[in-house]
Amino acid sequence: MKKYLLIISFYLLPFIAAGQHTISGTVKDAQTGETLIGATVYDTVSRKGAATNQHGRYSLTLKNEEAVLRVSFVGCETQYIYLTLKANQRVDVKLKSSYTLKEVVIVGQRTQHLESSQPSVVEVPVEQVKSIPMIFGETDVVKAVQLLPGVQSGSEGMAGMYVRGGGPDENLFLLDGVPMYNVNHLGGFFSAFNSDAVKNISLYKGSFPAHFGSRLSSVLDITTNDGNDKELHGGVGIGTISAKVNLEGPIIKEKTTFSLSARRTYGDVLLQPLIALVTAAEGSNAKINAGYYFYDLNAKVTHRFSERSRLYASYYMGDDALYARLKLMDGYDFREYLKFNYSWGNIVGSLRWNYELTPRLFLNLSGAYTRYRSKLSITSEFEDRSENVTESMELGFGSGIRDYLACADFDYQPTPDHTAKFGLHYTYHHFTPETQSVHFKAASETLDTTIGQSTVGAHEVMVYGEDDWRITDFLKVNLGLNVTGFGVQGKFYPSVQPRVSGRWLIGDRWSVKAGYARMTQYLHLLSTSTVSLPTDLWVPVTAHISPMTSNQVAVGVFYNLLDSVDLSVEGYYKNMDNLLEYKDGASFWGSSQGWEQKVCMGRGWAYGIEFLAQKTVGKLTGWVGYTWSHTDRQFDREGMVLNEGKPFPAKYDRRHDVSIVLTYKFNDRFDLSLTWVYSTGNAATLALQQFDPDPDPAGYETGYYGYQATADYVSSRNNYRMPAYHRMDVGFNWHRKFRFGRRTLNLSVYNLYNRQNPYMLYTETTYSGGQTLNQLSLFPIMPSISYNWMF
Amino acid sequence: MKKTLLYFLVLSSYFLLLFAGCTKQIEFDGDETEPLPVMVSYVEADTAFGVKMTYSRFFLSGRDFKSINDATIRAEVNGAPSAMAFARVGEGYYLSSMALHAGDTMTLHVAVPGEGEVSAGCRLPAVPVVSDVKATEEGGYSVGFSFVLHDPAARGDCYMLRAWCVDSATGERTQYVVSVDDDVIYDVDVSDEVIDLETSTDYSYGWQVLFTDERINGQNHTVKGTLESGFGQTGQTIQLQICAVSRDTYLYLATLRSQQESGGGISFIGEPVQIHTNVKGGIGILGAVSPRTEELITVGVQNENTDYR
Repeated sequence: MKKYLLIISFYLLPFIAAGQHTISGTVKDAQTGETLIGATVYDTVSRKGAATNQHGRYSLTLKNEEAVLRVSFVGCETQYIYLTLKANQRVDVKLKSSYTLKEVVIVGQRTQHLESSQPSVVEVPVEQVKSIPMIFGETDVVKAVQLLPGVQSGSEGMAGMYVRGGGPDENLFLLDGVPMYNVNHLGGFFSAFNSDAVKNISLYKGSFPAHFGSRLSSVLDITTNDGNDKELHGGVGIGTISAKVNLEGPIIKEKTTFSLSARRTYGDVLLQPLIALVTAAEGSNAKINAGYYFYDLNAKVTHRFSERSRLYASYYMGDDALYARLKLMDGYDFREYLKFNYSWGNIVGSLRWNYELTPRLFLNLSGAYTRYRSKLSITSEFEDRSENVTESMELGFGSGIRDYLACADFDYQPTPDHTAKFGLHYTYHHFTPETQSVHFKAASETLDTTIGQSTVGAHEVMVYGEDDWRITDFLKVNLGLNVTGFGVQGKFYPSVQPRVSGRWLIGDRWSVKAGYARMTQYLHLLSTSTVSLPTDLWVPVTAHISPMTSNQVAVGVFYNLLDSVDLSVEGYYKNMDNLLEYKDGASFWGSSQGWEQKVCMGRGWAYGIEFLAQKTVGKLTGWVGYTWSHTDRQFDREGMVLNEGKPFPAKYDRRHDVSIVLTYKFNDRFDLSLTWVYSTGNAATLALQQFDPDPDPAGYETGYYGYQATADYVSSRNNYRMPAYHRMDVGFNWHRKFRFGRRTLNLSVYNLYNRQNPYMLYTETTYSGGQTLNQLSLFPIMPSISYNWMF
Repeated sequence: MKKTLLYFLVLSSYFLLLFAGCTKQIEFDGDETEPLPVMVSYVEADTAFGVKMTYSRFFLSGRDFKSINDATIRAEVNGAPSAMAFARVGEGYYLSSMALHAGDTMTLHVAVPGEGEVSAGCRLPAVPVVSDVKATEEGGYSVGFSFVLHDPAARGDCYMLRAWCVDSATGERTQYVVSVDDDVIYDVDVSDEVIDLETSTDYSYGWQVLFTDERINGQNHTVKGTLESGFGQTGQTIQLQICAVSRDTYLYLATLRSQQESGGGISFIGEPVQIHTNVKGGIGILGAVSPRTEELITVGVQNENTDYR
């Protein structure tokens, strides 16, 4: 016992050391007043430093009497501040944008890139994201992240993410710290994040800090803009399929700010006259109104009570809607209406209060609500006035999940060498896996039934603590512990998840990092297919389905070349347990009932090497990424056997994955972006042999054992590789300044050389009785144009 | 007007280009796998049985299934070589000279020239014990039935139901479609039936109905269902066959049916189905079926005063 007390005392000693002064404050952008996340505050005298947290705040405790602070951030001029330390001081810093910002200069990234104690973490520059050419010219956060090594996209054009062998439901998407469940618009062709509203993007692929939990494979942490605190700014953009607007500014100058961004597709509006033309051309007297649209809205209000106290209220809502209304008339007394409505979307709202309890202790209290729901209704109405008959029938289907969160998070920097975080999170999950309703009304009969309406409540608690400990100038470790518990249907699942990572700095340009993280996930996504659809349902673990767990180790070498190119090589190994796969033939086409009987639980493992070369300075910026990876699954538990219990490659097991993202800035007016991606084809299951299952002699069928003439023999799951995927996109921006702002004309071409990439394979029977193997491709060459005006 | 029309045509072409997608025939970029010997046989208790031997075919070949006419079959019954002989009586079809009885085990060894040996084993389960077999009126062209199944204490029993109506004049048998309405056996939620969204793992309807004792193990369970497509005539004989089947037989038939319902070996929505096999050196099934046949005779007139005894 004494031994343990001694160890604890030794560890706590630095926390209570005296004779130190703490410098604390916030780092902001001088032009916009936006707090800067990840800015570096470094004392060149003591060679101690700190980075600003999610709220732009830093705390640096120093023993020396004089300090020279070097404050730097991506795209900003580095600032030096000379201080004489006699007491704790508050130093708020405003960094000016660098003249070279338009060249996407990333100053200070080098230090952070090498300094950070965690491997497998990527800060994604928002400016770079906005310059990447995308389909229809819509910049997209998730698609940009998919271009990083270790992250794979699902099918063509989809927003689904597969990180280091994990499934699409194993990624935690945080919008201002609040989980978001469905991050897709239009079946995954677009993500729900409007890049105009985004301030910071951080991707964690492994070595997760202890303050993150609840998903196995990745955390995409997105912070939205607070809003300019000095003057009103905004922009309007119109593209091939959507229009958007954003506005930000002070409500009370340098006290209260707002930020508002909205966008909507307008394809449905433009299609209506076309549908009318087609209907008229066919001579039909039917009236058809059909279309699809999505919209999203980000709003945020920030109020500064004092330098120590801030309140944030943020709100997101986004919906997709697919609709069709058909009215048939025969010109007399007969009317028939058919209505189809399918809508799905998220609402995320949060209220956060930041308070600096002491210069070294920072509190963030938050309450949040997040909701995802989908609703389908099909209505048929029939009216015959001559017979005085009216009938109507409505089928409804709905599902959703609602979360209520309460969190208390603390940042504590007792000494220059320790940056601690600890906190408590509570989430109440309210699942409505499925609600179905049937309403039928006729003269003689009425049916009004709602079924499957049962809801499931679940409680999730997370307690965490972590310390980023700078042991020497060269060695830094992050030690953390995340303890969670999940209570559902009278059962409680506890989980203890240790997290350890460390960095060894070798000179000024090299560092070696390693990390280990154990993760537990209590939610599953029941997905119909490889396509992200609104019919996908979130369900909790149950008494029979255990939580998924993973253990991941990662080791990486990081190097900075000539202050302009960051190079990294990282290897990882991850094992996963209690993964779910669908049983042969099973699907969840809009039905969550009995889902436990349709899945198998098994294990998986993934390993790979990732290379990244990122150039952040100069006219040419961008990155080249390459991933070599291997991902397998095995389901051999009793009653849950797949593939005869033998290992098989996961659906998104891809041996090679290459991405090249380049932006070249000719001058202030023109820049050109290019993206090229290549990946090994997805694994697919093909029945390579067919056989005659009929037990009877040819020409004689008893039917005792069915009438099937041909059966497909599938030797193993995912036994075939689709053709490789590759594509090049280019984008050209023409900027021009006006008296009232700046406009950008963007021309993009998606899939420049018109590669027909495989979306899915299928067989077709020919007239001669043989079969052909066919491929469906989605997007051919797609040019697009967009216009943006900012003031 | 022309400009407007042109505008809409350009716009619509763009959207059609986007969403119409593109399909094309592609070359199979893999090794063409060799055909495998296929054995399909269902051994029924106390009945001579047939063994059908064919070759599988490469899925793009389009050829007919080739029969194996030069196979040599030998049997081991209850662990000992058997005198059972097999005579080829049709294309790739061999008929046994002897029958097996409930409880017997058998291994078939099939020598296929150029292929090596193909073998499979099975054990004929005990004939199921049932009581209170009844028919009930359902109306239309369907007949209701119920019986009490006395499931043995040991787990893992599998069952199959089939039924025929027998024409009283000609003696010709017409197979019924069997439907079992039992939410204990099938763990069916009522919502599945109302909107009929998910049936791929539901074997409660068809020419043969399959179920296991997973939820009724060791119980005396009343099974209820209906028979469809029969002809409601007075004096008509209904044959209801309640079979105990081996686990392999159950898995083979269930996966075969599941594949049929999910659209084959490639599926966009569901997962592809691997058909179960117990054949070593090839694919197929050596099934084992122990049937109990119950006869019910209608004595009323269907739809009006139908009565059964």
